[in-house]
Amino acid sequence: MREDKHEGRSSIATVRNMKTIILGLGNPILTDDAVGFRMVQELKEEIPDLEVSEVSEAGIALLDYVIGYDKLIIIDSIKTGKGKPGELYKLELEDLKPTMDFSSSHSVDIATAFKVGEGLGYRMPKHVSIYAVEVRDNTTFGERCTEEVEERIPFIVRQIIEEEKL
Amino acid sequence: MKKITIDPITRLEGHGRIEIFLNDDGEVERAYFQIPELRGFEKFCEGRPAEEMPRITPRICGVCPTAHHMASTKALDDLWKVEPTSAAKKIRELMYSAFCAEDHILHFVFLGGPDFIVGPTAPAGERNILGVIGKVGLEVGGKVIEMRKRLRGVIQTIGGKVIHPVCGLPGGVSKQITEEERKEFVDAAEYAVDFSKFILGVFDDVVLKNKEYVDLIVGDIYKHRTYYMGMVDENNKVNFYDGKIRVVDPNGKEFAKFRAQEYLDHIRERVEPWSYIKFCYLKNVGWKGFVDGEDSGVYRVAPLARLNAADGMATPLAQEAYERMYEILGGKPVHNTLAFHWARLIEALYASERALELARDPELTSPEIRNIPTEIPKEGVGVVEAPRGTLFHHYQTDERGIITKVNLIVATVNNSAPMCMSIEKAAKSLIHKGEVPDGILNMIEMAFRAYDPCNACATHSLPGRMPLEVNVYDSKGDLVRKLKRSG
Repeated sequence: MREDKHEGRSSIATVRNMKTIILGLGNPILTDDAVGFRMVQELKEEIPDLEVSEVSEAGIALLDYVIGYDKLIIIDSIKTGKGKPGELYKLELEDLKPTMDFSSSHSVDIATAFKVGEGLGYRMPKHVSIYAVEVRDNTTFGERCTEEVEERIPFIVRQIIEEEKL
Repeated sequence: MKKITIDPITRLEGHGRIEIFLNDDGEVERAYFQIPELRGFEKFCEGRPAEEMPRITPRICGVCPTAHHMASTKALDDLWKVEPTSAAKKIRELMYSAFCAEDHILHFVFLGGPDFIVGPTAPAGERNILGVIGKVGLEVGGKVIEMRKRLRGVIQTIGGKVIHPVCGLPGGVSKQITEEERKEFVDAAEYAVDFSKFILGVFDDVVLKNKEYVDLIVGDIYKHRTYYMGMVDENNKVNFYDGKIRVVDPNGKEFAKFRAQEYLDHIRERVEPWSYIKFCYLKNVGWKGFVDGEDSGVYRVAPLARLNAADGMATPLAQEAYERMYEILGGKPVHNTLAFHWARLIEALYASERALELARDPELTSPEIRNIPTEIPKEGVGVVEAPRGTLFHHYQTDERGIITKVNLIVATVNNSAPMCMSIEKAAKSLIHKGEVPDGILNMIEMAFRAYDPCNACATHSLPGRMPLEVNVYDSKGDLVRKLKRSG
């Protein structure tokens, strides 16, 4: 992402020409866990040319969605319990602190999935941005985000468009 | 916009926790394992048409979608009392076998494998998939990905979507298989059989020829004498897709054998005040607490349990591997929790061989893919063996087929009591006189990693896996040690 910014400053056209995929991660029937899906839906609405995907998988399965792209933007939920619901954070891949001693299948984190992809010689995106939306409830089944999160969506969609110069 | 760095343990809510309580002598009194629980599923389903359930339930988690889809589809067969056509059953079982083979192999290579292939005492930084690839070679890593891709291709073609299949209908499936597709399935299944054989060979070379590992597998830290449950076919061979549920006692003797619809006569769930998870036990033995033995209703499910509960495997290569495991580990049943990994590989070989048998069956391309339901729906139960154990879906509806009641027993919940026991036993073996060794976290994790617990519900949000912490309290209830999973 640091490199992104650098490139963004030097040549916006270069950024726009990169083959980019935007992944919204989450579960559409788990209240605020759906926020990643909602975000990519709204982004696609705003900018129909964008290539987006709604993804309910994690870890190694992410490789299926990202191999061959130059740039990857991930939008997921997060529950730090310390921010306001609907607040947007930006993370670096390294921030996800891959500890890599997992206890449950498929719960391999994004950073590890990337290392595996690189290790196996796949063409992984060189530029990765990760956004996380603070959520309130991601453990109750429901098809809608909580109001606090839902009403912030238009605003955070704008934030991402500006930050990524989409 | 805030930029943050995540410390999974201290900064995130809803993580897994192991609480260990010591007595006055500094020995372990009790250990508790807690994970967050999802809420409101039953309410979410009520009022929806039952036909939607095979598409809703796979979304419960991103780990076992195909298992939920299949259990749900079978519950609909039972709800409308309609028998699927022979071709439909084969198509379903083929998709399901592809799923089980892929899931088992991934677990071993990515999660269980690091403990064995890299080694239980290797530094945490190496005990991961990259360490496994480093040890077995880059080429093997590529083969894992290739096998996964091909088997997912089978699921995608039959299921319509790979992650959330949509093919299951009461009485059959939605789409006929073409001859060209069938041939692709044969290729994928052949690849899976070869790779499963290869991985069993790696297990032989790396694990079984290493005395240290074998001692760990057969050692007392990871051993529990329990009942075992699994689905079997008419010859009492392991079956993932259909059959009766068989339970054997800790001596390996058949204790019960029942149809899916009778599950409530055999299984009870209990609630403990300290956990959101329910604990299953055998009703006809009774709950005696978190203890081993014939008098305790605690039972186990998933690979080793299925092998223990059956008389063998229905395919030739898996049967050979089955016999070899019991010969080496001293006969049936095997009570050693770490042998779940071995059993998982034998099952992967079985699932691959079964997929190949089905893919070669000319009936697979039959146009007879569905019997149309004509009965009025009321109640239905569907059961499959998910990779992580027996999975029950039970629906009740009104006469229009609108859901009025839902009960699910998900695979991992069957194992929740034994998982707690395994954690407690590992803690008891490792903590003495109030001394908590540093390596304890991995040794305890090994105890429950063997079950491949599906806590995916807790891993949807970033950082994409369930953080874990271990808290140790002295006899006065004061926190004396806190261990986190760290990099």
